[in-house]
Amino acid sequence: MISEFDPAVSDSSLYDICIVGTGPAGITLALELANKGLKILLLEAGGLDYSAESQDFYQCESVGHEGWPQLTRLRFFGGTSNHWSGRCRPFDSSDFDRASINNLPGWPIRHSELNKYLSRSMEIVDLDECQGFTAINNEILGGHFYPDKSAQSPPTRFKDKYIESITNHKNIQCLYNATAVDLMLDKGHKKAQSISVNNYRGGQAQFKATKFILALGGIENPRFLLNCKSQIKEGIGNTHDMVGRCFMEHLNVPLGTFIYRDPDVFSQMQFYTDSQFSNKYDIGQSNITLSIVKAVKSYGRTREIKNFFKNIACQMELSDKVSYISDFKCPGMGNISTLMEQSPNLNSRVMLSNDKDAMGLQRAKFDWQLNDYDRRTIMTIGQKFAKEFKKADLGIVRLEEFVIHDDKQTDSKFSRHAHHMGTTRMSKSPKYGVVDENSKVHDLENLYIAGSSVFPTGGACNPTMPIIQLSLRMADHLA
Amino acid sequence: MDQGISRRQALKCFSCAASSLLLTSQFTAPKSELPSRIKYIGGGFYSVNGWVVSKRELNLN
Repeated sequence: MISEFDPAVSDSSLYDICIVGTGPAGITLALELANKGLKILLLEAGGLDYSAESQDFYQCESVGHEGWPQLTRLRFFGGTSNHWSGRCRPFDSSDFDRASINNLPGWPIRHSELNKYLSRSMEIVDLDECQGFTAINNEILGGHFYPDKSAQSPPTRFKDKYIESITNHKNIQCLYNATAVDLMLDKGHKKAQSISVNNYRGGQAQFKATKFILALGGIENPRFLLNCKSQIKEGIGNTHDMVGRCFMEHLNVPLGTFIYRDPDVFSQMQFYTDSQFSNKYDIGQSNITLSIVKAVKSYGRTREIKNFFKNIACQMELSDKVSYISDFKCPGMGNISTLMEQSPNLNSRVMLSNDKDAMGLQRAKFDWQLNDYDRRTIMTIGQKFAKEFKKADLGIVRLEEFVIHDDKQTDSKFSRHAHHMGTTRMSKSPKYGVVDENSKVHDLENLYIAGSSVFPTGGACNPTMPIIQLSLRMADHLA
Repeated sequence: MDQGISRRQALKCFSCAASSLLLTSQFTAPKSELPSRIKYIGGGFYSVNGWVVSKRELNLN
């Protein structure tokens, strides 16, 4: 069943598993575990729909590169799946082969451990397993640039698709407007015993469970752990000061522009660099997208001039002759953009701000940083790609200056994909990560973390599919 | 005899002249504003102000 959290009528019984968060990870886990006969408490901090009051809890202090963490996430039932674009692409097996990047270990599990959950994950996000993952263009380029394969979910809105199943499931108790604010540990600090939950009116209750799973996303997972300092001052799971470190995004870098020789042949194209290429140059993986520009945009004074001419043209009935100034476009002209892997980096991190939210919890302090490895990835991918474009005689290409010259402008030239990863990374050793191979927090016997915050590396694929695969794997482990 | 032109004709002349200037300014600029930055980027290719060109296109055979 599903209901608004009311501390006065809360159930004090012991649940098998308490799951915090109702995004793709939380909902997948709740249904899988409930179907296996476990009694589940599912908590959603927000309501059933968007509200400004709930969304305000995602306000962050941003001190590094701007990642818009307060806008790219949604805090209500279904989580960020409520505005997910739907692009799906699983990890490559090579993503699991790299022993270390920047002196930090890679994945401690094999690709096969996720791959066996691929078909079930596809079903969850309404993908046709028979169709699989397909490329939108042929093999055109050499030099290890291959057509990228992906699949497009409708996209599945987890709230719309699964709220009825959760409401009607006899093994699931789902509470909304229920913000988890603290986790109470036993005396030895080895086991979580109960979770403190607040509503917006100051009410609070404790819920007991045998196991707990945090599925709050790449920024809120570490924020919650760091805020749990009533018993451990550095926060839960943070013995080695790894909670919140290694924040990774996928870099959206405007590498340059191009003009196709034959604009009628191509529309959008996507390429992927293989692992041989990444290993050779010691750089991250990348997806490169070529998109035709439909109309050149203009800004500032240029736009004012264009508007001035537009007005005159209309007055003088010369609009046809002047329109090419305002809506100038060149057939076949387009932009080169990327979904590029960022390396794990201890200095790129989520911490706690001194600012507090309405429940008195410290807000996230978000410090997104790039390092030399990432700058090398950008320059190498850009230059190698441009040369292959020329060799294939597709047209002419112009790279941005920062891709050519190492003049430190790179850091102001990229943007985000809203993929928040790495902040409770998976590692065999607690020295290099927060969770173990089963996504269990190293420091505790019964606390698990779901979602992309456990990714030790992010590859160059959209994270939703691997998040669901990892959730299914966790459900099998816990059942 | 009055040699003046109508407001409509004046606007038309101004519009055409300004259009020419605007378009011209998009494709040419004083040399002092565009110093060439040439760099060899490997594989027989150079970057000239970001444009990727082959050695052959630069007549450097």
